[in-house]
Amino acid sequence: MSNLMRFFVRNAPFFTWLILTIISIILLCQRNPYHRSVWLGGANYVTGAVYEASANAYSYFGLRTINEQQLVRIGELEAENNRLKQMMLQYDDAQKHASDTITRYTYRIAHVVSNSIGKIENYLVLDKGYEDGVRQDQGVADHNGVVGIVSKVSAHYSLVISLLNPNLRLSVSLKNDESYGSLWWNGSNPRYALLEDLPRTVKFEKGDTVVTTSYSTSFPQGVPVGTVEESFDQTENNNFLTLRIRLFTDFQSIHDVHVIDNADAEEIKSLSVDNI
Amino acid sequence: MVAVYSFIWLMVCVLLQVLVFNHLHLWGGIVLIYMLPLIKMPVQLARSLQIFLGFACGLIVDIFSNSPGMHALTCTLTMWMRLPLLHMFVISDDIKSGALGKNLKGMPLYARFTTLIVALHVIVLYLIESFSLFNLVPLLIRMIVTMSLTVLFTLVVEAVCRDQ
Repeated sequence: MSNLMRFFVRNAPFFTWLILTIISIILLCQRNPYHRSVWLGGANYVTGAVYEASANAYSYFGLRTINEQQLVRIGELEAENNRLKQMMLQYDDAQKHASDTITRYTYRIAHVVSNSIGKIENYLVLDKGYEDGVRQDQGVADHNGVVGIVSKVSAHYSLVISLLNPNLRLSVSLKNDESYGSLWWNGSNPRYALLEDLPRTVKFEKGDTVVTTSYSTSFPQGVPVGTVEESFDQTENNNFLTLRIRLFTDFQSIHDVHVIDNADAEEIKSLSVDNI
Repeated sequence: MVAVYSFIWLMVCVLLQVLVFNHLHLWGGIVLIYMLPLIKMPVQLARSLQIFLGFACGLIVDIFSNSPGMHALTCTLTMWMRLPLLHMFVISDDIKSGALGKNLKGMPLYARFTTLIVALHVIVLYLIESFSLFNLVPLLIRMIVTMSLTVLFTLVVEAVCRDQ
């Protein structure tokens, strides 16, 4: 017995390393964000509070640029508001559709307390949690375009799976065309993503706007995502196009975002095949 | 006392890493400043404690980076390999107590040791992160940039400390 004890004591560094390595591998194997334990996410109370303090300090550095962007955006929104008002006056149908959309979706403002862009799988942490009405699978966008989808929620913070994460696939379409495809990030450049599975018959030009479709419960139809940059060469047998999309959202300087709440999300989900 | 001092210094570097240096990118690469206290951890600390401090450092970086286990596994391995790597440069009888810099006299020797240990750390870290050789060229670029920046940072700090 004493020999055994002596063996363990003499090889203590090795056993320490072995045990800690096994713990690390167990943590590493829980890669699915849905299955991570609550305390080991970026959305827990301690990390959230530390990130919030540093984000408060950082936010002052970018205020001038953000103000300019907001002013430009306000101008665009005013123009759009006027155009919509005229449309509503002219068309009863348009008025009905617009009021439906407005009542179904509510927007909550949240601040980004942590963000990454340089990793293969990127996430953001927001300073709003389930006590503020944030729920899993709600869409997140900033004033430029789509940012991601809420993946996990704690009381005061939420973890958002960024568009810069290959695990997220977003249903999008060209603004001028009904056909839809699937947008995902291939892990290379944070300014660009790929739009796949778009029918070959779709006509497009460089600079065409890409927007979200109505097929997801996370985003309303028409939230801007990016513009078409180029098309990849396709083999003749392939009936689908792959486009390179320049994203509107500048992930390096995200500060304030909107969390989009779809009031009908639960009802739509309850109708899915899994629940029948 | 040495252990407490090492731990505090490690935590300061880890916080700087997650709050500042994780956000400064150059071609996808970053400076891993938590490597500095890991490399320079006093040799007289029990080796098990050194490995445990490495694990704690990695785990905290992981918690803040949403990558549970990735940095913890790499830092544990790095600290486990540190003494064998040190023995490649210094005869074991000559390893004295005290800061690592005292054992590695001369910058070239320190630079070679640092490059080797950082290279090991970065290669293992990025291979675990990608879990494959998917997008090989960007992966290599990130590895080389991170490695160069980290080695450069560590050597600059060492040069400044030695001058003083």
